[in-house]
Amino acid sequence: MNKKPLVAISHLSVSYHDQQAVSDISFEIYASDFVGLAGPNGAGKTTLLRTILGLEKPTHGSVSLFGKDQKEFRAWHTIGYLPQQKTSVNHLLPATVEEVVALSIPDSWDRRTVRESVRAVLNELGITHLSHKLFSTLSGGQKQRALLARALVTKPALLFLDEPSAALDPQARDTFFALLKKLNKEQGTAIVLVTHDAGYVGAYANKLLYIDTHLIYFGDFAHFCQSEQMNKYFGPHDHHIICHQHT
Amino acid sequence: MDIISLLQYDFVHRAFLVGVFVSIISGTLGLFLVLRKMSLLGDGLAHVSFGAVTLGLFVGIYPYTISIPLTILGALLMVYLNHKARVYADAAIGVVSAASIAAGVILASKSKGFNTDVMSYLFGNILTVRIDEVIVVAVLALGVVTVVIHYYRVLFATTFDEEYARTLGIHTQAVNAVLVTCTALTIALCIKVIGAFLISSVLIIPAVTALQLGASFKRTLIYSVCFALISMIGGIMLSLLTNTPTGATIVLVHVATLGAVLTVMRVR
Repeated sequence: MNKKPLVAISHLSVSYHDQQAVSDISFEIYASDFVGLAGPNGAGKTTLLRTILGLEKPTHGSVSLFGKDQKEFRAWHTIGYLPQQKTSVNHLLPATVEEVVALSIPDSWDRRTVRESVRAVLNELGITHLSHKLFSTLSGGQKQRALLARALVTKPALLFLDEPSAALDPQARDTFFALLKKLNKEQGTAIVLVTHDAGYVGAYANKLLYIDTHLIYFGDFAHFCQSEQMNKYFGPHDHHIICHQHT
Repeated sequence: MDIISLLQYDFVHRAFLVGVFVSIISGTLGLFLVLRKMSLLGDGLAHVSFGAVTLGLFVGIYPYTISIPLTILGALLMVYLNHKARVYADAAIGVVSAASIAAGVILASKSKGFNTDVMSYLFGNILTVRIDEVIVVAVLALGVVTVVIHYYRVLFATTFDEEYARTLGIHTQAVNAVLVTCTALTIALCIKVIGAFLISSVLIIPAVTALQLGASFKRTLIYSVCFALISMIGGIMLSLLTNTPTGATIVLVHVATLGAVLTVMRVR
């Protein structure tokens, strides 16, 4: 393959207080990949994601982003991130949706471009009517869409989502995933979606990254579903559950 | 004496002038401190500054010369204890401020005759401010406003979601260091105006008042400065008219403004 990987992980290990959270994992992600990052609870999915984003330090191995070592990487606006709902947002802060979305945009962009980009992403996600509302007054689903707008406003080439569907009702969840699929197909945005439910993401992702502290499987979803080895590893029942939505 | 006659005095002009500059600083910095749950930082740093001023008086040098670096050092020590030594932020503030005030009390007890000066730093007196002190506070206000305008997005992003801000490549620890350094400078330079006991309330109350209005972040920041200005000017005028201690009157007017806004918001 001649394309440059957007993310290249090499022999990555991460430990907390001598407890290994991620062990010797290597893989590469390219433009237009839609990767389901799955594994059981405590498998290290969020730790892996946080390490790629520079929120955790690797114990061993390396992370390369857009061909650059993570330590030298500066174009963070080319990466979108939707954290888990319960994370670090300061709900005391009286920010409007418009203000929250605009905070991802680098200072180098002029005011007009900032305004137009914010308007465009709110429109795309169907939440223009929320633009002047305070973030703290929104429902769980509305907050999720506002935070997705924050992640998408710079039109990132790479998008990380950590359990994004947790706060959404089934209908909103389908709309949300359809939007991700559209972004992936039409704009070539590479998407890495962390989920504990590999079966659900099977309907959308074309690659599966399954970890349980160490790497269990990384490759095409279709290949995973045909793999005898994976069938043996997961057992026929679980293997079928993971694959039944993948077409 | 009525307010018109009082307005003819230079010391009154200086008091209003320095009050305006202090309000611009406190209204701006205070909002970030309150939202980042660092309200106690002002109180802790006022104690550090008091200890440093006492040391300055004890060794016989101009108190600001020693209080500015020591208060900044105290602020950075609080941040260090919080981040590196895994001490909770409020506990780190408690440790550093208690040590400073204890040192200040011991130095004051060993001194010969500067207790009156110490009292003026404890309770402050805006009416005794000199023109050079007004200029220093004006320069600080200009510095704080410049930092906030220039790093507005960075400060806002870090305050809204520190972890997400890090994924944008923002050095949030540097942002915190800048914020506490600005706060330390403010406290060190303004305790003579408001007093070590009262300065933290001037930092916190305008922000808390502005937050009651439920406006956007940018508007809340503007409202915070406006409430600080109204309460400061109102407080100075009331203290001149009623001949009450200025620092304490300013603080009570801040509290009254908060009370009025809370009442209006509840009625609405």
